[in-house]
Amino acid sequence: MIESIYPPKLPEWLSSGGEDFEVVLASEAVYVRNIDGKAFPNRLNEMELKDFRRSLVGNIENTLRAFKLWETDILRSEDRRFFVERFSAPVEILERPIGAALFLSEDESKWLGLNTSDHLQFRVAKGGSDIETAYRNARIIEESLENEVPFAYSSRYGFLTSRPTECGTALVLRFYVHIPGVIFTDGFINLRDKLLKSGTVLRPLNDESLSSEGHIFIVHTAHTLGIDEEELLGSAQEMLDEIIQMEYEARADIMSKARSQIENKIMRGIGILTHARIIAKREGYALANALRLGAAESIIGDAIDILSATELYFVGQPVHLARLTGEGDELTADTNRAELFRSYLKQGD
Amino acid sequence: MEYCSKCQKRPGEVKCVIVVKGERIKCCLCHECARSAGFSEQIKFNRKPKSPGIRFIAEKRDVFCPNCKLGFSQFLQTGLFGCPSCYNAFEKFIGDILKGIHSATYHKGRGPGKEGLQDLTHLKWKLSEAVFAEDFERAAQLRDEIFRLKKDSN
Repeated sequence: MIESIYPPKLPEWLSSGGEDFEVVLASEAVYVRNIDGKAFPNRLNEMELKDFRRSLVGNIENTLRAFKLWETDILRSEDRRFFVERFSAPVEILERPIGAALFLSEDESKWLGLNTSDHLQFRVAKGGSDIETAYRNARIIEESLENEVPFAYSSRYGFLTSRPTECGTALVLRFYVHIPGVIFTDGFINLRDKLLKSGTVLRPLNDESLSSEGHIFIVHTAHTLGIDEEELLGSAQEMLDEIIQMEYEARADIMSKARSQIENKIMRGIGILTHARIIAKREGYALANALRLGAAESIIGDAIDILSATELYFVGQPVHLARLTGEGDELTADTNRAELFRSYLKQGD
Repeated sequence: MEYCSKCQKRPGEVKCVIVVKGERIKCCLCHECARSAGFSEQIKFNRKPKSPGIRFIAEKRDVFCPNCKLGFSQFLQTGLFGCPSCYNAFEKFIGDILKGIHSATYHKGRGPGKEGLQDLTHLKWKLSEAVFAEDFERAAQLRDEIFRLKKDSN
């Protein structure tokens, strides 16, 4: 069973937090590679995809022997969603599972998607802001695979990918950031525009993660052509440092100017968590946001720590919730969510 | 009835404007001359020359990738290339697109590994494909080639 291998809680690689964890949940390096002379997955039919998967797996499984292999068309749709909910698979496996595969490391920090949007797509993640370690480890995998399969490459366009947005280094550096301070101080538009100018995209994790209590955003590099990997790493680190600095300053600012309003929001969150009997998915995200900020700013004492508050994001999602509390209709799920969240608060007591 | 401005033989069906040295010249082409001038098959030719409202879409001829047969117009719709060869096939058209996305049109940085190692990886991959396709004669040739390359590099 998937849930026994990967418990439906915080993924292991995230469970020890990391540097600047109050602001940066995780840092990821994602490489995209294709095989020379072979049509991309979007031009292959089901049979060709499956044949190609067999051949590709045969070539790389020795390099990835520490990984567990899942053929995504054999997985149930809720299993695929389970992996995506916890950042342990590329989202493409939800839409195009046929002929695709997923290699996943034991702690889930590394995954390799096969026949998704491209032939190979692999990611290494680290908790907190340590993008350099994530990048160096991803590079080790890339270099190992390079000895096993010939990558599609041209001296002009670099590593060739199905999307023109990724050709060149075909490396994307990505961060999950929690920036309620920036939001409260109306600095979001400024930050977004500033990042856009430096070739970085800022977008919400999903629509439901947006709330007035703060937000989780994905920040990722958007340029892969005309910039080498070390330059990209340097500029991404610089940009991340700026976001962290901006968020800490904004938090200090709101805590000095509007402490009572912030405390009010967060303590109301605790109140809901303690007494609510029904918590919808969107409200769950909002609560997680508020409690994460409360834990980071030591507003809520020992009621809940930052790791448990982060875990609420994961366990409040539909498949995780169903795995932990059982299947049911929407009302049952919302009731179960309220009960589960309440148990987290008790744990922290 | 207006005759084709080019061949002067067949009835004119496609009205177009040609710009020569900044001067706009109105002309009317027949089906065959229009096609040879580069208008695509997607033009809806009106077979009734007397009909006043001739409807057509003047588009340039689509370009196809020789390897995966993807048309450039299809790439524009999906935003996805079909294979690595598409980059060369559409080279003339993608410069502006790449510049818009990356503010650059040339790769900077490392390529895949060392030259000798790359050849070996290619051969190993071809060998696995030959074995997979049960083409054992080709597989034996590739195996010998790999052996020779390894021996040379030692």
